[in-house]
Amino acid sequence: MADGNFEPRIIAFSCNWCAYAGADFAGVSRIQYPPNVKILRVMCSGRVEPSFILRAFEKGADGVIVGGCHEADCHYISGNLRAKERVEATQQILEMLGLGSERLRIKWINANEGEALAREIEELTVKLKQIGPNPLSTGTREDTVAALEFEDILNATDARLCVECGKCTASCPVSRRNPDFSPRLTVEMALENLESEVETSPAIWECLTCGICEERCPYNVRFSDFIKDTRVEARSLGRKGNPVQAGAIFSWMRMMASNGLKQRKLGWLEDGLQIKHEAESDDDIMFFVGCLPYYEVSHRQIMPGSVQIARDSVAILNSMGITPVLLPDERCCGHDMLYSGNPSVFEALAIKTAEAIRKANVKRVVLSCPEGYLTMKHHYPQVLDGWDVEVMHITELLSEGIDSGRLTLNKEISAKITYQDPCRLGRRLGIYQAPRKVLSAIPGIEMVEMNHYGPDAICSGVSSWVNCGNVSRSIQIERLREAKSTGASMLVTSCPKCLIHFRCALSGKTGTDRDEIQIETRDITGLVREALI
Amino acid sequence: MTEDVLIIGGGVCGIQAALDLGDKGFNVWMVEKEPSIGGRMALLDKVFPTNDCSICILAPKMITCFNHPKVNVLTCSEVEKVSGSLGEFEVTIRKKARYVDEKKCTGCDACTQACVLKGKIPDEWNEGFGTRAAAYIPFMQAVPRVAVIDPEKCLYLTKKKCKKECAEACQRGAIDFDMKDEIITRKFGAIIVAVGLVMFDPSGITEYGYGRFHNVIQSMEYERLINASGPTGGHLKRRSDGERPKRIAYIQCVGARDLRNGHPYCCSVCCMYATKDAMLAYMHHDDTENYIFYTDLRAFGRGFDEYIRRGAQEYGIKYIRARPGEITEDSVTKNLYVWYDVPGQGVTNLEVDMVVLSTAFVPHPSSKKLAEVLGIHTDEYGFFKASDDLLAPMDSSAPGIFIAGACTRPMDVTDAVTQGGAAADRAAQVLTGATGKVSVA
Repeated sequence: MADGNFEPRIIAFSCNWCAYAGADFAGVSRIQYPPNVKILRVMCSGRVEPSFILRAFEKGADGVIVGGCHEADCHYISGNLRAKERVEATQQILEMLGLGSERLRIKWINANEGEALAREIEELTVKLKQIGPNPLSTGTREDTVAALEFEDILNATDARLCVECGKCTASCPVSRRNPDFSPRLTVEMALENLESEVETSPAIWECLTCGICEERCPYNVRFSDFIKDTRVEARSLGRKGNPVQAGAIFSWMRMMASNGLKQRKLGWLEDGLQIKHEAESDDDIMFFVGCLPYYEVSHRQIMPGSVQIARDSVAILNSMGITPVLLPDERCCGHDMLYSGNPSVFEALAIKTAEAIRKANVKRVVLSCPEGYLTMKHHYPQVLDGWDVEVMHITELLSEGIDSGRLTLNKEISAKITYQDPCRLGRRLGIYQAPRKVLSAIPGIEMVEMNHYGPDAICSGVSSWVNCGNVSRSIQIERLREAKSTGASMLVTSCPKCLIHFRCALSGKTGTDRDEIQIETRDITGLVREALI
Repeated sequence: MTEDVLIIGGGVCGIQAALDLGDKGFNVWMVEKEPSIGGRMALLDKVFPTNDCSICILAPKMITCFNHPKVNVLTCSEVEKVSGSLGEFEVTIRKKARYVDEKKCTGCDACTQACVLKGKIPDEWNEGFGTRAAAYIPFMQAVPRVAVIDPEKCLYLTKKKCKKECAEACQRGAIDFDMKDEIITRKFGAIIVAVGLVMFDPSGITEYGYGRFHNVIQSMEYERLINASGPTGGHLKRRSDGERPKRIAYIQCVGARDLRNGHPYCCSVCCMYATKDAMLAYMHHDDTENYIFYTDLRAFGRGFDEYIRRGAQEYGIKYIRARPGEITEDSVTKNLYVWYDVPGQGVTNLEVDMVVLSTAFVPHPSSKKLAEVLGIHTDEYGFFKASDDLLAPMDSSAPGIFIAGACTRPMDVTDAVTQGGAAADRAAQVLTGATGKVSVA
């Protein structure tokens, strides 16, 4: 398979107490093992986050070993069990990415098991020689897209029109909780040409880019774009905020921009769902799955329901007589890269996605994710020449289906529900009615609105996977409280990420009386599918 | 060729123009859409910067105008068609059926008392506070003080389902359900347009909750509430519970200086009238706390800046430089929280009993059609546009048609009166010029 000269590069994360001591033991005992391994000491295998492993592969490692103490031997009680769970999840990610799960191993090695360590390294080296090198292009990716001049950002976002009235800050859910973040002061500083102060400020990573400030700004200052564009230069200065899951999510997103990758991400399809891999006519619709299968793994602890959204979407489309096009190697849309200050990777992803869509002869794309929708509808035309694909959110398609009679919802679901307007779908694209129309078409559903709805809806607290912390949690809890106080028994959203954030908030410590916030959370596609039968 | 002048709009601006021209000896016709002249000023409580009673200074002008031997006032009337040019405009006016004979009616109110819909129709003259009947006199000081029957609400006129109690009650036999719209075609030498403005409807600015929260009102509603002849007899009351508000927040520039809804201009009067409103609340009860949230305090006229200073020093008004982000409501007390940013300190909120939105002045909805009928230009917002803003501010884009008052831009009473006089002078000037006379009267 691989040529004979291929020498795999292996990273072995080894716990201080057992595996690393085992390596020492192997050394002093002169036990031979292949020189392909680089051993990195960590205090506990439980310290090895998926981001470490993914980063190693992203940087060109061909294989990774996580070495820890035998079960029940962990010096931190259960760090090794945690490591095992993480490694298994990361294997699933590697499998979807097409790198293969066998490149990653976990091994319990005692301080006197130098021989076992050597065997493990040997085995993996042989295995890797069989399956060949890491297909990702290696090394550090060069930024191909330069940051905009600060002047140009100010002009393009109409920041110069600001009259410093403070309506933005007074509207911002983050500012209300974190006085260090203020859209008003950020723009004021920018207008005073304090460019580097703005760019190096940790505050710019706090912004949710949820757009409530610009929705309310009397002078239409586009603060979300201001933040998006300022983060590019900030990133080049070494700032990056606090990426969620220590950047594991960004890691796989960046990997998807790589040429060599060939994903296998349709494993979630269940029997009976009809799909195809190529459009046969211009009317054919592609369902863009996006990151849903990855989130199912990365957020496994909170039951994100991500893959179910994909299954439900396909089932609903099937019921409307549509066999959607799904691509096994569909790439990330690039939204999170774009909004976290990495337009180079965004552009690479956009180009790859557009190429794949063109190859599959697809003219229409439907998404269940409002972020992907915004990206393809609004941002792709900014970077792609000749992007003429029609893009729609699934709620728009369903709303049309109700009008044309293609979608019939017969099964009664008697529930009082309230609806979370996702910021991308609502404020950014103005789609408020379609999801409400779909929900109202379900027999038995009673809709109630929260205090903040439509253009005033409050964000679910995290955006583009940066800075998920106390402020996010507080926003989520408040929002859940608002949902609960409507008397509804269910909070429905049409954004897989909103769903993740709310479920995450409900899964942890809430710092409040749980009865005040506990509410069932669901994606709109789940309800629609249930009403089909 | 005629020297008669048509004035469209019977507010303070039109009244001033009518009086000036009438006094000069011109025959003036005034066409007013509503059943009474007086316009917006007739509904205000006090006017800045002198805190004069608005109707007290306007009513004598209204009556003088109505009774002026040279001025013919047509109420419930609209201009439908205009042709011709300076000196010989041919104008078609629709005088809508009032269903009450103006000559017979004494304004005794008997029809209102008899009307079966009494107390059932929200009173638009009181901004929806209070009610009226289908047969009614718009407001206490209406001129002419003559009843009118609302053809859209009257049960007899809409469904023939009423025993006409009003007609029975009227001792003068003034009520005439057979009355028909009258079409009048007449020649005029010049036309003055002074149709005024309306207030911006703030319900689209959802963050402030107007229409959703009972105790968020807009400034014109406040004027009626604090007005002694208004629906509450001048007692400020909360819509939610009828209690007197002790803490009032005024939010400036609602819908004005706002690019989102096409009103980027400053309305020039709101800083002043909010101060006046706050002063009035304090005058009524000196334990009232008033908070004015402003974008920039614009007090540029004679005595204006002093007025604001007085507001702060003598009336305890607190001026806060911020546009609030949103208003939230306490679902139990119906009190309101005004969320705003204090630079350097962060976001805070102020609990108040009532919020008054100082809403933008926007062109009257009839302006658009009127501009088409008259063949004159409006600006991008719908205000009538002068042929030359600097050197001919009263001249519309068509010779012989003049524009004045708040239908040209937001302005206060002083400016509206000044413009009414200026437009009258311009009309007199072109007409005497056109007929070759040196002067009239």
